[in-house]
Amino acid sequence: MSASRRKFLAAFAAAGAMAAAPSAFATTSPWSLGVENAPAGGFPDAPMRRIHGRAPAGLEGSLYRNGPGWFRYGGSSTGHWFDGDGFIQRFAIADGQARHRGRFADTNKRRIEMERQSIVMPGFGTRGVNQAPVANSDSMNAANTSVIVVGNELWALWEGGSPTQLSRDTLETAGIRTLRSDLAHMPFTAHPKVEPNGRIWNVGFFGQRGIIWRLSPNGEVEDAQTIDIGQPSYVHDWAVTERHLIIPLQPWLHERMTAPMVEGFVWRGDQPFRVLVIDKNDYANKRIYELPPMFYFHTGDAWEEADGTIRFDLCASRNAHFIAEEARSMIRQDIGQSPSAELVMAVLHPDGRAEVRRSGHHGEFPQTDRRRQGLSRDLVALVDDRADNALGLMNWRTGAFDSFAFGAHQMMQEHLFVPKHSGGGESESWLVGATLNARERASELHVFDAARISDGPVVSWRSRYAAPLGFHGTWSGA
Amino acid sequence: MFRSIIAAVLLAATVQTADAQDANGAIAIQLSGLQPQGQVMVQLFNNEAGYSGGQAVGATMARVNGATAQVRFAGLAPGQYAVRLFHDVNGDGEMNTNPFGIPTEPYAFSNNAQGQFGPASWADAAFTVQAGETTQRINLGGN
Repeated sequence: MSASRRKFLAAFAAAGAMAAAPSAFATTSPWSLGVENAPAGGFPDAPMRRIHGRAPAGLEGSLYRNGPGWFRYGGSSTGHWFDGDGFIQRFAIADGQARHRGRFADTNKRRIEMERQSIVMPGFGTRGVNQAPVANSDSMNAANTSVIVVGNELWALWEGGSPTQLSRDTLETAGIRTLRSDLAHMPFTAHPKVEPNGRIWNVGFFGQRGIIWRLSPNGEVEDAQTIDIGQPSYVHDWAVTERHLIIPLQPWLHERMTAPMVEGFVWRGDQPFRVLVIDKNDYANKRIYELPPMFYFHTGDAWEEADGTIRFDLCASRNAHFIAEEARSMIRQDIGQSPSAELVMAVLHPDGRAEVRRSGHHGEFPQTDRRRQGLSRDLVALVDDRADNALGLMNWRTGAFDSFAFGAHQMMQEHLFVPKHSGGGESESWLVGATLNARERASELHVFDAARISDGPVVSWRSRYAAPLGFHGTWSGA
Repeated sequence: MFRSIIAAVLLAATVQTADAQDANGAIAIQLSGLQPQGQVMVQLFNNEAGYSGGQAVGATMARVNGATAQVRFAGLAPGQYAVRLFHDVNGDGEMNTNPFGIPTEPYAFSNNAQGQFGPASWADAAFTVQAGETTQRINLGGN
């Protein structure tokens, strides 16, 4: 039996009569395999097959990943990659073995759409039906963007609303995690920043209004204040230093309310890329820097030097074409070819000048050693998920760039730093992440040595199936 | 939009009592999907301008002790009406919102009409009252 035939039967068995047979089995591009519906019942916990190398001694823990995993009911489709239902995956490494499981976040949106077997709710790029039952932002919360471990809880994150609480073990959904009753349904981005002491900072935005969240390591709200960021920029990710909050304000502006929301954004390429820098101890103490226009999704991290210079890396594109166009058409199997973003370093000088230093290296999903969040560092890992499908590691101090490419059949996804041992340097880390192998129609898990990326993975495991592409993840040690 | 509701409730209570004997329409509103606490606050409108401008022709409230509750408007002239209501879960008399203005307490409209990012329209929420009793079943469980 062919892999696709097996996959079809597995999907059908899991979903029962509720499953609409996805229309995307005739895969035309490696990308489209990543935007097929996952089985409605998820993937039960199962061992992955080791296909290369050996697991490093002492590497034990779980990589949790999140991303959109359900896109269509028959001919009824989401209007944007970002609107698929959150599908949470756990890759657990223990005793030299790896296991995988995947499960949909059981959101209000998903319950309604499964019941009606149709896309109902509006989203970022999805119009939604007339009379869609939207009471608040969490009515359409897809819980599909990232995941974070907070205390003993696992939260699936979506930037327009509240976290969704899941079981760390079974991935079963407990429900919306309201952080404080008077702040219900407030946006909480998928990129919270955790200081080395465990304190969690996050932001959320709607138009030019924002909220700054400060949480204890266990997720209690220590402080939450609203701010005006001055312009309705799309802000997906941000950065912190020891003393400052850094909110990049790109010239892709939410200028009018319309459905779907994405159509209300306008690229203003004649305007600068502003950077709002806010004092962590006094939100009224803020400063604006200006950089040339560019589009970004993700930052690496930021740090501050003794003279007050702030640096943060980001993956920059020429414009908003991918989010405005290609991330919509890819749901219809029409895969765009816009180039990968370029890794750049933004430098904000104490005298108010600001500049961008280009690396010449391309990719997305930048990751750093999270023990150094807000602190000086050298390394940033990124994946080129377009041209070369490579994992790259940039050393900003030396200028060295180490990389490994599997080839065009492997779609690289975010790889996370996992310290080899406590107290080690950045390069004393493993880089752990997933790929989607289009040739084998299977998901894979890889571990690289950050000191020798170009040697290739030290160990690789493969699932018996292909899970949808994910966005972001987190590592939780055993 | 519900801020004047307590005053309206007090005013409407007298109006209903006076009119109940000789008018010929009534609305029974059966609510479900409630958390058993607080109270539901209900406003009644009889035209689009009043609905949009918050000029209720009737208002009432009911304690919530279970998953369901019922309120009733009587003594109504036949015609078009619409209802909007919220579940005042914490009993403070206000429909609470978060700092961005999004309601943090359940709310609903007659016909279970939905607004997108705002109140349901009059066209979606309006229903006809004739002689006798008209029933509206409204579920707040999706909030």
